[in-house]
Amino acid sequence: MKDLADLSKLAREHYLTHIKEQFGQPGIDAVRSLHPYLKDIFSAIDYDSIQESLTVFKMVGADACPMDLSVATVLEVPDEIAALNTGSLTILLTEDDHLTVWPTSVHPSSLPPSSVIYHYSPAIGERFWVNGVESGSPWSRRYPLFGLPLFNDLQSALQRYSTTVARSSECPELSNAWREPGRVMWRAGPEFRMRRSLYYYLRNTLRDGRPDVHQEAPADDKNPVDITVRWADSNRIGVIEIKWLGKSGNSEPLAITTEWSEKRAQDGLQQLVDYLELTRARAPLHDRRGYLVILDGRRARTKAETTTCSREDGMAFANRHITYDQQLLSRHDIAAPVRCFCEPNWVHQSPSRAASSRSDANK
Amino acid sequence: MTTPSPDAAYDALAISSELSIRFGGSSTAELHAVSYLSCLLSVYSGRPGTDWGYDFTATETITPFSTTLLDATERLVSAGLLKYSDGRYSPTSDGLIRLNRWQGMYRFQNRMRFIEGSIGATDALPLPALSNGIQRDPQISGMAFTNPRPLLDDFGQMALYKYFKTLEEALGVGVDLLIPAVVWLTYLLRSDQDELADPVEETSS
Repeated sequence: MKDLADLSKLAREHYLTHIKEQFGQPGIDAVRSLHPYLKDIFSAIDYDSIQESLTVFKMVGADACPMDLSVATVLEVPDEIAALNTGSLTILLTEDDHLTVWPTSVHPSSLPPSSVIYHYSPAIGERFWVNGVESGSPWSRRYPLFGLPLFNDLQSALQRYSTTVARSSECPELSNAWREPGRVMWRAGPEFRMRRSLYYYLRNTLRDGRPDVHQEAPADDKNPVDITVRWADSNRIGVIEIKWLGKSGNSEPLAITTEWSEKRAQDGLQQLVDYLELTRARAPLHDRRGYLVILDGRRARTKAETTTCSREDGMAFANRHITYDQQLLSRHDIAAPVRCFCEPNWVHQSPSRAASSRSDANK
Repeated sequence: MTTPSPDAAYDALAISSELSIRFGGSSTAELHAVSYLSCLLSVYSGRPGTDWGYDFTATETITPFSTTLLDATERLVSAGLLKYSDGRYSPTSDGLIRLNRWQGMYRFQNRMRFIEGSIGATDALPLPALSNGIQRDPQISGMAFTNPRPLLDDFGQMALYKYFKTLEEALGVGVDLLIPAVVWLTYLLRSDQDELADPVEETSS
């Protein structure tokens, strides 16, 4: 427990105190009506779907709205906001509780001072502006004020999967996706094992917002989705596509069946974007976000008969990051791709066999 | 069962009605937390905790918890004024008619602003934050739950007195109770975050 001076400082600097000081009870009434709308807006769109900024304001005084009303969309309920979101939104809550929406960013200082303004941007987090002045943030950025960051939760889970599971193939499904214990190349057709590995992981680790994780059956490249995550009482859908890199093959006889390079990941991102465009047109009220997960099993200098590899060849691609089309990456509905580098396995061998393998691999 | 408490019955119906509008219903823990926060706002306003009409305890399973409120909730369900489904309470249409009638009664009018203050806090903060914040209440934080302990008794009010006095000095008298409710919970939650977060931030800097 902090001391009383902290409590006093917090009380004096809190945005509600500033609203009371600047506008009196009409200001408090305005923010009371604004709060539930902020929750509704974050039910319709995720924090991660805001790329530049979200500004929501209610005017307390009789100033004219400085924004062009002729280009705004008026909504009675916030559900439709997802269809208008392109990563930047400015929303006026009117006296009659309608939402006037502009798909653009504005800085709070350009709005009428006699307004209570909520402003969110990924760079600075959540802020209130009162009478033209930024109010102290009452809240740590660790916790959002008005909604659950479900997409961010999913992205974090994928990152954890990369480091705790995929890196060392630390689950039976992924462990069985390799052709040999040394994890040099994937088995032929490893996709369903990879999908199941990630599916089970997400089902056991996602908690907030009662998530429903579902395995899809990707029909073709136009419908590439492997896993979808939906959250109860929410319009949010996380769409996950898994691609693998490296070689796959059979062990009897030893043969390579497929080889995928960096291009496979780049194409995967394009497929995901095409899919999001298609589904956005079909169901615009859903807030979808695409996640590309790359299981990277690339090794250097491997042939069909290679079953173990040296540390140098096995880790040659460990830090070889993939370059994507920046235009696709900058979309508001695409998460940063997660590359899971899957390491070879050296510990299954006795030291003498490992030495012998190294010698074989160098031949 | 305890002696029926009209105050607890009113609170159960009024709070579950408001939480139903916002969240589709109210769990037992949420109902008791909002009711306790309302009682806390009454104490903040200078009324003794005993004036609330029923008391709260800290228990191992739900804190704060009121046997009287639970009893009133069960009576309302039996009377068909509340329904319990999927772990959540919400008013029936008969319950809403009854609530409307009760809201016009002098007896309950004194309670409304305290409930409005705590319901306003559920709009301004994430609902789980309300329960999490209350767990950091100086009366509850660090408590060993060997036996249920009374809350907001004389000892509990003494533990809160200096905090509420500081809050009132900073906010002024007669403010909308939404403000002390949100500031108090934010303060409690910040303390929680600071204690959890500081070591990590120190090591990463």
